[in-house]
Amino acid sequence: MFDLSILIQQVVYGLVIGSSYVLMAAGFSLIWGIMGVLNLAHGEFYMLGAYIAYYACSLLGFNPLLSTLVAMVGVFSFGVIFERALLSPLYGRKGWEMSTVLITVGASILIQNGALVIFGEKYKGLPMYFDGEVEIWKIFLSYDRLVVFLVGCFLIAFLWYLMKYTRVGMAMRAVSQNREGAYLTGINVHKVFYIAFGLSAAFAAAGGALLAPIFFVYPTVGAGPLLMAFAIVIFGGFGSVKGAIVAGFMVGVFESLVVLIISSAWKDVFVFILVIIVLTLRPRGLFGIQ
Amino acid sequence: MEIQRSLKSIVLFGLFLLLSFFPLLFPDPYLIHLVILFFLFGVLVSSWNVLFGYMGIFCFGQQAFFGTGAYSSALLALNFGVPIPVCIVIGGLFAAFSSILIGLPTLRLRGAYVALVTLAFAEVMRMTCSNWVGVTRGQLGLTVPALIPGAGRVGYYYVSFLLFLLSVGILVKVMRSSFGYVAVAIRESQDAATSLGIDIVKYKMLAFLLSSFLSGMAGALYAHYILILTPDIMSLHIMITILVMGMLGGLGTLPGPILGAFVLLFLSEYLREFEQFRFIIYGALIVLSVLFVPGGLITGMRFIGAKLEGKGLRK
Amino acid sequence: MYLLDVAGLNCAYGRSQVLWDISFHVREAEIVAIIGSNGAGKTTLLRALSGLLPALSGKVEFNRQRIERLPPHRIVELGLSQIPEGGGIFPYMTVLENLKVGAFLPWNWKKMSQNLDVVFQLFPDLAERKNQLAGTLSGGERQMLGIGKGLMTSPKLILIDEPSSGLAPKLVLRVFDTIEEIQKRNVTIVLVEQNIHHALNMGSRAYVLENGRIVLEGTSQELMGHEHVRKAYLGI
Repeated sequence: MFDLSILIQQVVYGLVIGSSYVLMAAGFSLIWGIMGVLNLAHGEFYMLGAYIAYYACSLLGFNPLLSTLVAMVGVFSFGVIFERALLSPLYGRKGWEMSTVLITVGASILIQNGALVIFGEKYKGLPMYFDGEVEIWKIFLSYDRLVVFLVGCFLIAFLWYLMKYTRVGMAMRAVSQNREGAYLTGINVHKVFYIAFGLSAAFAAAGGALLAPIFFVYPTVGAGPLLMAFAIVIFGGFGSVKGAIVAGFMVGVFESLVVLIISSAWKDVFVFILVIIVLTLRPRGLFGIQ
Repeated sequence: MEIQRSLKSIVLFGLFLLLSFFPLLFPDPYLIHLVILFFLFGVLVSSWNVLFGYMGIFCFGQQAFFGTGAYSSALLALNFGVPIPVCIVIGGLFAAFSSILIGLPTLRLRGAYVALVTLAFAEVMRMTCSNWVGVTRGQLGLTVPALIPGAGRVGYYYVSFLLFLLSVGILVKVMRSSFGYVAVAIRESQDAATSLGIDIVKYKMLAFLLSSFLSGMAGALYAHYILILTPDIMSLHIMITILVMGMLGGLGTLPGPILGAFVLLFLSEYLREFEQFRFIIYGALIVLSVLFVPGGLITGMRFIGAKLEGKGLRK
Repeated sequence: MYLLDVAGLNCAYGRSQVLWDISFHVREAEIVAIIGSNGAGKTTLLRALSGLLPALSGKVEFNRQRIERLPPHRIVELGLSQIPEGGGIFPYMTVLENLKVGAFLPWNWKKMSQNLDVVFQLFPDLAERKNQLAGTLSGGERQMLGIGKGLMTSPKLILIDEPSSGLAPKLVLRVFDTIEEIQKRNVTIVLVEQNIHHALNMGSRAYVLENGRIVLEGTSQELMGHEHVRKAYLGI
């Protein structure tokens, strides 16, 4: 009935996209675990990363890796400013959970529409980074997608290493597990907040930069990845980076299969239904802390 | 305090008179159109406020109720020839029913999770309407039979005014009763409320039902007024508009959303030339509002009112 | 001179005031106890001292430096640490990692292996469970870990919040023995306790906190014999 190789091809595509989804989701989960903030402007970091990569590549002729790096550095700084200007004033307040959600919504609207005015609404296409494709066991994978996957996996490994073995990562984990305990060991929690936020933004930007040649670049391009990140984080468990990684790849593959078996128009619907089901049956997700 | 109360009553009565005779005083059809939109959005934002402002439920899917009411009413009228006023009420009921679907998964969830589920739900509804072309005609648009065929705006004005008065009346009654207290208790602390023996699930569902029913009817009326219906009625833009109106006016108060709807509608009129900046301004308004004026305009006005009376701010 | 000098400290949560005009002092190498029943404001006081709760007014001087407006991490840097109730540990990290976090500050990070040796010497149980997740430890072990983690910050003064809470009597003795050991290493200790016996046995001096105010002070002996203390806290 099914041609197995087509199925496997879709799974492979799913893994490629999944690697970028993981980057989005891991950052999102990190912020939730460490700061307790739901950043609904997260998609905009993805979008900004995509635009920076687009201009770096088309105007300055940077190669894809350099463009991605530039995007990450640029958006990291933007993320830090964002946290300091918009979020830190809200921490002590009553009802800050509602306030942070609202302010990130407002910021999202502002940035998206700002981009619309500055960059124009036309979808911008980035030509392929590399030409050609590679064939492994009857599966075709374009070099572009291979790069996306490899760089994505590299960044994921980098994040894992950062969290587990560096002093900064240890501070982040401590704050997410017991904020007061962290204060009492001399950790500057506010600094951890803005560094974590900057990191989360940088990773989202990497996702946007890497996928820029595969999907077009336009002001609202971050909306889809945001909802995906949300779905993945719920699925994998809020606050768990491990969960974001596992669930990210799973959702990438699931989405890919839905596109193959049903149609691409309904793929978002099915992912949402999956999310709603998971939330109802197991609110904590796969590896959730909270 | 006496002066403030009687002043308030006089102002309200004056407004009521003004609105009752508005189309006769200002026959400009465009102005009448704006006020009709004001009534409909007033209902929409006020009913959303029950969930978000009063009960603290992060409902980001109100547009789904608006749209469900619109589509179900329109489809009923088109396919089954049901008289339109009945359709509108049934539209409200369909919206209420959909709120059960959307509300159930969120009942045991907290804060931000609810935001996502409701948002996701609304998007699912919108995409379904968009893709199910056979029934809804998707992006091509559904032609909706008019409530008052052939008449000018004036008829619609009074019908929407009626809906507006009815909704405000219901909301005032409900929020001033014990329900209002329970809602705020739930917002302040769900755990504390539960420990007082309050059945949170029941109250949340009631809030969803009331809120969606009113929004659904507003949506249905909108459909039978505008006469063309596309899935955009459930777009995120509507939710954003509701959000800005609510925040601007003041969440968790009765007059807040109405004031917000009024200010924003007429603000966007003045900013017509800057149409492309509209949402930038909305975004900036939300951000600035959260940072500096969390209580919205109403809180500001009450503050000034109290100051004028020479008192401190009474809570 | 006093290592810790608190004068006229007032604290509130939002609009409700919780601490009124708190004044007390601690000298180097002392063990001072603050006694109070539930709700007296003990934990609030400790949080205020560590900078976790802003003060309305008053002064807190540590090592002759004013600390009442400093952020928490700066206070730890200056040598004032706290072991909150339950230890303040990180449940999803191993015992060893927990201790490492304790040494977070740069100069502590350098001294890490030294301090680890000291801690493992004091708590051989912890050495055994180096790689166990802290969340799986028993109550007593968590308390030990909390103390160990506090020691990793190389403190001059430690505030301990109810070290004996929820512990079996045998463990309580161990905890207090350990606290005495720590004092011998020239660390000043402020102990906050509900249990009068424990508090007065440990500390040389004590203060009694009731409804957010200091109502009594004196040496342990004086307080043991005090009529009010005997009636209200010892049930005699």
